[in-house]
Amino acid sequence: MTSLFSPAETSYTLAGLLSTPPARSDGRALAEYRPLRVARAVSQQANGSARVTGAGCDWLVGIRAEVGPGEGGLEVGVDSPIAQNSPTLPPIPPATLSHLLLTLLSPLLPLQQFTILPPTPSAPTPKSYTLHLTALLLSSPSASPSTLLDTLFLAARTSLRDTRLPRTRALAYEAGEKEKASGEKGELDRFGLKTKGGGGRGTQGAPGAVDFELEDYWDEGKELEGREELPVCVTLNVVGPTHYLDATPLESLASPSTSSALSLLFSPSGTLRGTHTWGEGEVEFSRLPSLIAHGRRYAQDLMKGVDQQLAVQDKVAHDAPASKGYFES
Amino acid sequence: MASALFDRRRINGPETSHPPLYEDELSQPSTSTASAARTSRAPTDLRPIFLKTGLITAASGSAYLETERTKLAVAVYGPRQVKNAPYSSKGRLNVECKYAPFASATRRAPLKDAESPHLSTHVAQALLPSLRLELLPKMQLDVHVTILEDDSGEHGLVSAIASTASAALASAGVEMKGLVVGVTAAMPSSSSALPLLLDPTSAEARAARAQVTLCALPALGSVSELWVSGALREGEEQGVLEALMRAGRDVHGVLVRALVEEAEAERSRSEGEGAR
Repeated sequence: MTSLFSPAETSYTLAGLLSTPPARSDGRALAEYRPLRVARAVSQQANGSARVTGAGCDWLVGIRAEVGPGEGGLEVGVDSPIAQNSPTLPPIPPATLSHLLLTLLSPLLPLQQFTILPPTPSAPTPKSYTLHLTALLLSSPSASPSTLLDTLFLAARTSLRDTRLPRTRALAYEAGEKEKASGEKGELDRFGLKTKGGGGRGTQGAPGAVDFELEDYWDEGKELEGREELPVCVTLNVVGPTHYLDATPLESLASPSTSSALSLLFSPSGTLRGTHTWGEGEVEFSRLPSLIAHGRRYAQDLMKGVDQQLAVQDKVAHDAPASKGYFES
Repeated sequence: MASALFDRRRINGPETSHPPLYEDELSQPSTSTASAARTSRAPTDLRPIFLKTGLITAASGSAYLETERTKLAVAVYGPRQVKNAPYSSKGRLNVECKYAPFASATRRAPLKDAESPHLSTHVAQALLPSLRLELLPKMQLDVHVTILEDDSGEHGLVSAIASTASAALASAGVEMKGLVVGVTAAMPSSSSALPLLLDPTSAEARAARAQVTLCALPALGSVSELWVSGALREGEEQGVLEALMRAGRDVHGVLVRALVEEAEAERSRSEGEGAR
């Protein structure tokens, strides 16, 4: 990795970043991302999916909801064989990206929405949905690790906002006339009774739900709770007295010993939901609050741009339903 | 009947086991203790720190930290040569954090659950900006951390380990730009009136809505790691960071005192030997 770029290239890039006015090799401003294209619902089999292309990389994220015993929740797998073997990137352990996604996103999705059958005395193991989020890096010709993180979070967020969980209805054996007493009206709303006539098989005391059925078909369902607060990640690459967004591999290796990257996650409401620091450089303490404030602004601009793009896509899809697939028309 | 652990030649214990329940634990529901206000110290007070270096003689440098009920030991081996890797002009830092099986409330199996790569990543990131790795080509520094008791939660452990490892590295004679200190703050959930709690215990950490760990070099006024998890509202970060930096300077004083004591003890020991 040390002999990846020549000293002449790295010093030229560094001088460009630190000069006034700053000059980057592709003419971008310091706080400008390369053009990003975000697409939602790109896979028909997945419960939620998204594709983010641009900024030198290509992520495809799919979410599959599976029913299983336990409390449910989110599980993340990030598959990036290209990033591991790329000649232009320092190797990132795949577990790091999965772990970051999991620890920063799963607290925002309340667990109760995943429960299908709550635990009962007769069936102490609850049944619930587990969302398996798989992110696949399709290509990364010119993305630095910090850009990969930003685009991965964007793709994961878009796919989680796109996810729909099929609604379920618990089924119980009809136990007898007593259980239909009006005292349990509110609770019985959730329970559909299996048989139409009398005498079901189970004669347990309480209406224990033992099975469930789906109310929705494939692409219908309920959106996830907590989706409004899902954050985007912006990584500020700090070098010397300035900072910039969306580093290319050359820029990220321009001055490793004095540069560091600060990844900040912001929700639409402006709340800071997580941070991650990387790099060998130090950041002056007095700059931290202003860096966080800048990051918040960049995050809000990014979210606005993405929402606009998705709104345009939805309008187009609504007006002229074309075939969906991995390739946008 | 034939489970994988059944050994017919030995007396086998029960297949599953659970920790015992004590009567006084039963009477306190766990949720109420978390929201109880801190009684033994002020919200911006740290727990008293005991730090001693040089306890592990086989290692190049070592440090032991104890703050009330958190205890950890750090051993530094190196700088030593990297054997089977190609030449690299910069040294490598390897951090390995392991929990002792008895460190937390539930037992961790020695080989499966004990190691924590997540903690190791954060600690390595905290230490990296302070080390002059370009002076150690083809060398590696191994930092081994053993957590003997954990009453701080993951955030608190990262900050404690960062401070202790920095003292151990200094005790090993590794050249550094400055000592790294780590401090953690927890923002309690809105039911409590307090704005923030420094150096939270694990119960306070579990009940918090956000935790912030800052690892900094107070001597240089710079930050090596900032780890936030939870929800930090707009405008809160300024106050939290300043409180953390102030506390970091106190911890720095403790580290410096421990290192100076070790150096003086070493000097008086060598003078005593020279006089004989």
